[in-house]
Amino acid sequence: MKKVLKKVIVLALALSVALGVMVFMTGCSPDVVDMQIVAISRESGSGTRGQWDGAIHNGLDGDARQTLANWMGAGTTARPLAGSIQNGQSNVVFTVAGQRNAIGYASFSAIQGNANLRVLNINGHAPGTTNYPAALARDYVILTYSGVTLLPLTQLFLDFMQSSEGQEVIETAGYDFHGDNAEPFNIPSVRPTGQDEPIQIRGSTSVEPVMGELIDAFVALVPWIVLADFDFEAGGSGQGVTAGSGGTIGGSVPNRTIGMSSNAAHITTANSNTFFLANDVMAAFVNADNPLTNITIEQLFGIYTGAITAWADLIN
Amino acid sequence: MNILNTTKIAEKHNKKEIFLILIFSIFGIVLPFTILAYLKLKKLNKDDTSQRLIDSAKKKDKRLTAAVILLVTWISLFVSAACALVVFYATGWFGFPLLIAIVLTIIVAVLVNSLTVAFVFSKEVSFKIIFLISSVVAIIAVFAIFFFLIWEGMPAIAEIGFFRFLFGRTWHHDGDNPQNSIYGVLPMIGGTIVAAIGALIIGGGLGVLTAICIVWFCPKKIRGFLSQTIALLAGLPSVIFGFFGAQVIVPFLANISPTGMGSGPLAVSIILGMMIFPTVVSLSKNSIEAVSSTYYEAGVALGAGKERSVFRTVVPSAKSGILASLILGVGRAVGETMAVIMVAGNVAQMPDGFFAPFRTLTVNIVLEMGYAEPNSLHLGALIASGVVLLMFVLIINIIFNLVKKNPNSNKESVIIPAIKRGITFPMRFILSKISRTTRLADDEVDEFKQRLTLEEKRKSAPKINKLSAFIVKILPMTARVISYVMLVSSIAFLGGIIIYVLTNGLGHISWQLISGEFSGFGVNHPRTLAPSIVTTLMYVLLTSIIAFPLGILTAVFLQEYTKKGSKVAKAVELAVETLAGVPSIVYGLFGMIFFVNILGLGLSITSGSIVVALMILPVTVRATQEGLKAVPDSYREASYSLGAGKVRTVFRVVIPTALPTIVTVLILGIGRMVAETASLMFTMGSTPRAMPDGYSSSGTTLAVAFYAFTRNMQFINEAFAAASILIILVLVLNITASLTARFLGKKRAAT
Repeated sequence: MKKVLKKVIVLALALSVALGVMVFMTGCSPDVVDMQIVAISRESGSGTRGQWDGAIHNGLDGDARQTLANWMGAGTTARPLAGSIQNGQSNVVFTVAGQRNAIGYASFSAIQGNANLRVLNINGHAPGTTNYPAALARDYVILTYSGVTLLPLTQLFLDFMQSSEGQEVIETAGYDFHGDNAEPFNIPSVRPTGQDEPIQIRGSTSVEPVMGELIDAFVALVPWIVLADFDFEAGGSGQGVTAGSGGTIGGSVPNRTIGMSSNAAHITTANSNTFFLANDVMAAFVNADNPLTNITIEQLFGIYTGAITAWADLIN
Repeated sequence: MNILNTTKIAEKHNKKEIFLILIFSIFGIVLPFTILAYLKLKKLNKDDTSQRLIDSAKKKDKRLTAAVILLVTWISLFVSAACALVVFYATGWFGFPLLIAIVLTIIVAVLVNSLTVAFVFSKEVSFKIIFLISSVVAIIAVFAIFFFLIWEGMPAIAEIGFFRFLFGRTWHHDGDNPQNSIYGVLPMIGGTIVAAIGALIIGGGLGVLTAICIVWFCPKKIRGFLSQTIALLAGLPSVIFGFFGAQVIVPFLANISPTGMGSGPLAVSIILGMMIFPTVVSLSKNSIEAVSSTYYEAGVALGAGKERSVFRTVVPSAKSGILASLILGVGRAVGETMAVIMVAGNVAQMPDGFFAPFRTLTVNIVLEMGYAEPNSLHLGALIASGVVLLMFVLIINIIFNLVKKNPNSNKESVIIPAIKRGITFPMRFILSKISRTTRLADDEVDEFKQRLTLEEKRKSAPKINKLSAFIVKILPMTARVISYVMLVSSIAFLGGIIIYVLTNGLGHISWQLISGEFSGFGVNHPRTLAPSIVTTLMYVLLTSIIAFPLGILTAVFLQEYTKKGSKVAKAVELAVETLAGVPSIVYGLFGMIFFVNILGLGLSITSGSIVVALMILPVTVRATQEGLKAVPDSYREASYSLGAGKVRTVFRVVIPTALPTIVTVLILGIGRMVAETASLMFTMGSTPRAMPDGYSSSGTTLAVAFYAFTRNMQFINEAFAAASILIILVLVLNITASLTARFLGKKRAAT
């Protein structure tokens, strides 16, 4: 009897603790206004990150710039910092969509229409309108190594991207394309010989979606091209610049590799032929639960340097 | 651009830096390794009689073998020198490729020569050489990993400056202006230590108490069930832990954290703690079970009660085993990558509070490797952080070896008393200081005593006794309740992960997802796992072909062909043990440097399979060895006395008897291959792509494809579905393993 009682007590205690933990976990979720700001950034080396740093730098004095550089680079600010570094554009989107008090930045075209996010107007202007800060506009570029002759399939895909068919794909995908005088694309009737290995594409995670569309369109258009002809790895603009200027990264071979970068300023090497692919803007966004609709560059600067830490400072 | 090459380093850096690096590599890598080797070799045991009988069979062909080996070595040296010269003249390669060519030709030459020579002599000798060669692979692998990491990482440390690298508080990679980059690895060292300690507190505490609970307090009926469930959970892929952390733990912690941010040391500790929990439980359970029951009985006979006997006599006797399990758990936590990257926040700063984002060494490598240009300082610095990680692991290995009780001697290891003395001596010293300063004057003491006796007389003595009795009774009871709570909550947590993933994912598993054709990279194309499933199958096949024969042959060599405690055996065992401790991300780095880049295999299924085969090797060797050990010597003696040779005995008697264990090992190994992620991302590819067309094409396994899906909001349903498939696969493999073992064991017993 005593033993049974003991067992019942033990079991009841264990269960109540487990239940308590579960109730505790599901309970308590305060209003966004009462929460701290969590700033999501990209890893260094990313084209998006480089441009974002530059954009919110503009018009700021030297000290503030230094603080920003410290935060962005190494996080050696005096106070603990609420934020995180995510690798890849979609990871930033994913984090902000899942965390009610987070703020992040990414390509506007990638987050347009995402119901879990709210895209912020900057200085009162919506992304895509004429007065939107010019520093946040960006060019997507592709680059190939100038030191070699590209293999035929790779060259063909490059031609396709610059043809009027390619432009159409880019515009349908929701990007601006200001290039003009594009020639229509001539499909060779037979597969050119000389390239058995896949066309390699490396680089920016921001360019990844539009490049995916381009590949799909190319495969649909050319009867003798299959998806297995592509070796497509998006690891960041840094990779794209390396792969597209004669370097090897992740097994890339210069004469069949196309690099992609989301930041034209990123390309400092003279070893590459650079082609303009599309226009886009960067947008700041918050979780859909967040009532905030507008933000200024100065406020963004404050958030990303740790000077502004609470949503209450920004909402009303 | 910082393009590194050796001549530039020699010009640029004074002798001091090079000297420091030399010291670092000696103290960081060579010294720990030497200590480890010493500890291993020291444990020589005297032969016991039954062993001697078996050894006499081994001695028979010793001279012949020696002659053969000598011959083979000389021939192969000549052949390899010739090959190297040919390669050198044919290609004009200097430096590294030449070195690789020499090493490869030596390997090939040894293999070919030894086999031809050996087959001329006899089957016995030839098999012995095959066994020996397969065991040497482990040693070569260890040296290759150390060598290539140091070779690639050290120039970067030289260029950055030794102290600025190791103790620099800033890590900042500037892709646009590489000359502005600063690489200081101290925040990541701090992060790794914090993550390990957090995991130890949560996973270690839970694990040890759960083990105690399972062995002593649980109803006997569910004991086996519980330990098997926990063993199953040990196979869960780390990406799934990370995913659960990012989806459930981090958002929950965000609600209660003062900064509004969920990721940070606390989240990492919880996730890593739950990951190392099964390891800690199973190992400390073994050591608690190994304590002789007479200890417990003596405690009970002295009237101590069950709880008190368990906590005061049984657990202290098992402490070296428990400590060893904790250290092994810490080793796993230090090397973990994928689970950490999803919950740590990843800012390169010292961990500062429970909710501040931080970065570990492993995360640092994965996060920035994508941007590291070949031959750049950045790449070197990342590989050098891999070297620091390796150093951590080696030191943990040494501590493990010091703590682990030698199973063949009754002497307790030296470390426990040392730790005890280390802790108690200063405590006693401090206490003595304090008591001296607060000592009461003599008359005060007298007064106090008087008052005390008065007090005692006034109050009834029985009352005090009752209270103390109650406390004595309730304290162990509390310990028991706590251990129960730990058991229930940790199993609930791990079960929760599975249920969470399955409830969200099972509904999204569709025929299209499993078998649909890969129809495009664009966001509007439905995702398919078919290429990943094929890739996984191909990779599991190749990895098994490489790892399992090597592993089994090595185990046979260690167990059957070497004398207990022989130097060769100890060297191989040391290599196997070191390989077992190397984190998967370091395997990934090594694979990337050697197989992908130097050998030019590229991102391919071949590279990934070879790297993971090296990872699986130690597990296979150890477990197979356990199986062979369990075969009674009388079987071998019987076989010899019937006139069977060594080879025949091994293949006809020993291996068939150990078959249940070996089959279990193979299935568990496949489970580990399926769950592996970190090393494959660097060697096989990380973006899902079309169906692989051969072993030279890149690809993603199910686990890597799952990770790729989790990175995109749009494919969250597919991610859950892939996770469910992964969990089901791993669970089915693990259950099959235990069922097979039971079935084969029964069948064996019946015949």
